[in-house]
Amino acid sequence: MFAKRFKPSRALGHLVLLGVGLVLLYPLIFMIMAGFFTKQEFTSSVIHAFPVPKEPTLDNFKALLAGSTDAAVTVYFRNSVLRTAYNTFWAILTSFLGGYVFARLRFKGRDQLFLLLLATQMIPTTIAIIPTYLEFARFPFFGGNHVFTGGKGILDTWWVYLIGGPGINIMGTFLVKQSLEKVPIELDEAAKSDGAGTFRLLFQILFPLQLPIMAFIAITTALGTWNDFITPFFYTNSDSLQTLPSAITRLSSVMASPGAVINYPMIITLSLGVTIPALLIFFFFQKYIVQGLANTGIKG
Amino acid sequence: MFNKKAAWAVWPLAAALGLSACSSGGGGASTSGSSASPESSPSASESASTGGASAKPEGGVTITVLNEGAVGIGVGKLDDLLPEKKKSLLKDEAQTPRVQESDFARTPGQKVHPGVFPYFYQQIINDKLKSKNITVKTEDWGWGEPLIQKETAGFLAKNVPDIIVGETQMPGFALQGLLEPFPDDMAAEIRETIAPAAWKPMEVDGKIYGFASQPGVNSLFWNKKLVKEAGIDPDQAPKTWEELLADIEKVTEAGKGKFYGGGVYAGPNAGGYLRFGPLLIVNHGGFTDASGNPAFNSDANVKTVEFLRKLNKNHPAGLMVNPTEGPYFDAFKKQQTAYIIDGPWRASESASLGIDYGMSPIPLPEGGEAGNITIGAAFHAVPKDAKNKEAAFEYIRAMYSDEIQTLIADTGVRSPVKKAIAESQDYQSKHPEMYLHYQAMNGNVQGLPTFKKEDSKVWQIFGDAVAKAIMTNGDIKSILDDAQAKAQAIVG
Repeated sequence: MFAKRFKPSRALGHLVLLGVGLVLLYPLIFMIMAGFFTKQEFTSSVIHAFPVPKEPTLDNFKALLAGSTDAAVTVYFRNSVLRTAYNTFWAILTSFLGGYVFARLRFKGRDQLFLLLLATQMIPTTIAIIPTYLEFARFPFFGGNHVFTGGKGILDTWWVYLIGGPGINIMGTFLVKQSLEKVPIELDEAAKSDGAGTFRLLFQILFPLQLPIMAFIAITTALGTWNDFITPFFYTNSDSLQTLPSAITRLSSVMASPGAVINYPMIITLSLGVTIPALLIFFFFQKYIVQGLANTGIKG
Repeated sequence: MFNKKAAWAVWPLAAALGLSACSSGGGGASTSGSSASPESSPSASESASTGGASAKPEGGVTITVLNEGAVGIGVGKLDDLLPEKKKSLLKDEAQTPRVQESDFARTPGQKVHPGVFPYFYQQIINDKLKSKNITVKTEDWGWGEPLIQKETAGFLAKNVPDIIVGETQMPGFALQGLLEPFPDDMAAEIRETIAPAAWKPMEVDGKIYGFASQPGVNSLFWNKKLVKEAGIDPDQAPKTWEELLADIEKVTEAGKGKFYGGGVYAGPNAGGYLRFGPLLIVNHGGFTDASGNPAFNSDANVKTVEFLRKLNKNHPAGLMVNPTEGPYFDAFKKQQTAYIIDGPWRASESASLGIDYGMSPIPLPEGGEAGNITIGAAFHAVPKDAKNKEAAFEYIRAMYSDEIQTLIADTGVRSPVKKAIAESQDYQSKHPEMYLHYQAMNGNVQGLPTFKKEDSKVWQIFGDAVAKAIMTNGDIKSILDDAQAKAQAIVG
């Protein structure tokens, strides 16, 4: 029985997959092991491929969970969760509505507008940092601004996150458009002839059909926002507005200032705190990613 | 056909499009971000009083100052931060030795726990400024590339703190006219009483634009244990390039692939230029001519790069010109290399890692003269757009006050820059190595120059050329000639 099922090519395939899996897992294993090092030992000893500390410590993990300055890490964690939830909500809403508009409605300039939206995806984020900073600093009627002069606009306020952050999820709009185009228009007409209004058509008929792609958008947005350090790092200064990734960026860049000794184990452990929730999200929802992409026709 | 009933769906789209103009653009999910806690959202008027701009409290002024790692104690008002910092230092198990309550009772002239240094530094600054009715609020904009980007954006938006900080970018800001020159009386006082390394690199057209309270210059450090294993007297410093190279080669030979002689980091980045730059200077070479134009291919520079190529053979392959500088210093810290040219913090760091080290001025080539480049100098400057310039200059005055400079002397990690303190007999006897470092901060001390056009591109051309010359057997002169031609084509 076993001999019948056993195929060398299949075993080889599994072996290769196992090897690749280990390679992908290795950074995580390294991060966990490095977290048990003291700064002193990590700095002064040769770190092997699988680092094992001579004098393991839990200090770094304690700092991750309790915070080195008591409430600080709790605040960063709370901000990360709030940002992620808020952004994900907006991404789902704008993607669905935007996708519907471009898939179902016909109006002058629709295709051009859609192309224009897609074109914005070509602008690298780093190039947009300074213009965005200026935009926030000049935000009218905020922070002492009088449209073009003085003040600080919405910089270093919650408004950076509230109105400057979510925008429209263009990739999501594109995916929903692709997916909705596969849904027969007759469905809309049938719903309307049964007396469904637009709201009901959108959220009771079409939205449930888009759940896999909405799940995909939610997951990618949540991961992207959770890992985003640019927005909090560049457009806010206050400690109370920082998130986990921006706090780590601050920590590592300040530690890189003249003569400061970098506490690598601490930075690695904090990075682990950022990575694990993202990994869990991916682990539990990966089937939706595949399913969502399959629905859009992107996956062959 | 346009469905009129569904037209309302266009409005959220239009609103979202409008908002997207405010996002970080093009980054989609990975860069846009948002979160909100309505109950904790400050009102616009409240939030206006925080951040880059300064506010005037009743009867006084609040200045905003950027943090730097060596003296930073957190973000916020110093009054609030100091007690918190004290608490966290007492709790900090990573401090070696642990900080005790008694460490906070300081007598000037007595040794200071290095972990408590930033606390005392900010306490002195706070006390001095409070007596002038000035409140200090700190902000943290990071360091290195993120800091430069944020400062550049701040200048463009005219939204900068009252005091900014930085290293290699600061002379460039001064050249661009973004900084306020120090008042004449202050500049005169600094010239007379302070070592040049603290201000000379920030001097443009006879005016001083920035000050560093505890800058560094490069020295030679060596691991006495490794040097001894190679049969070299660990207490004898090499004085010439020939002696240094001979010692380094002996260590490499003795290491048999386990450890190497080492020398100096020469990667194509600021970390490299800051460290091998002094070798160019002591050999009468450098990066620019008298008029500030690139001068990469001088005979002196060719000779120096030849020396660097010889040093490269005494490193693990690729380490000396690794684009990332960290591994080079890690090798010294992990006792894989014996010699290194670096800033003064290498002394205290080596001691804390249990490395028995030696420290001396940079060896000279035949006919060479002492010279150096400031390194790890956190220059503080007042931007032209600062809201409270007078108060900001008071902060800088506090940085070179006797109290702060004595604190730096007592801590022993860096040397003070105030001549009266550093040249005292007491300091010379208590901190002989740091006194050597202080001496190196006088005389021919330069900062990295800023090229007239496309500064970073010109630097990259030079850095890449040096790396190529070190890593290959190509003709050094023609490699540097090529770099010179490319740089001249850019600068004009």
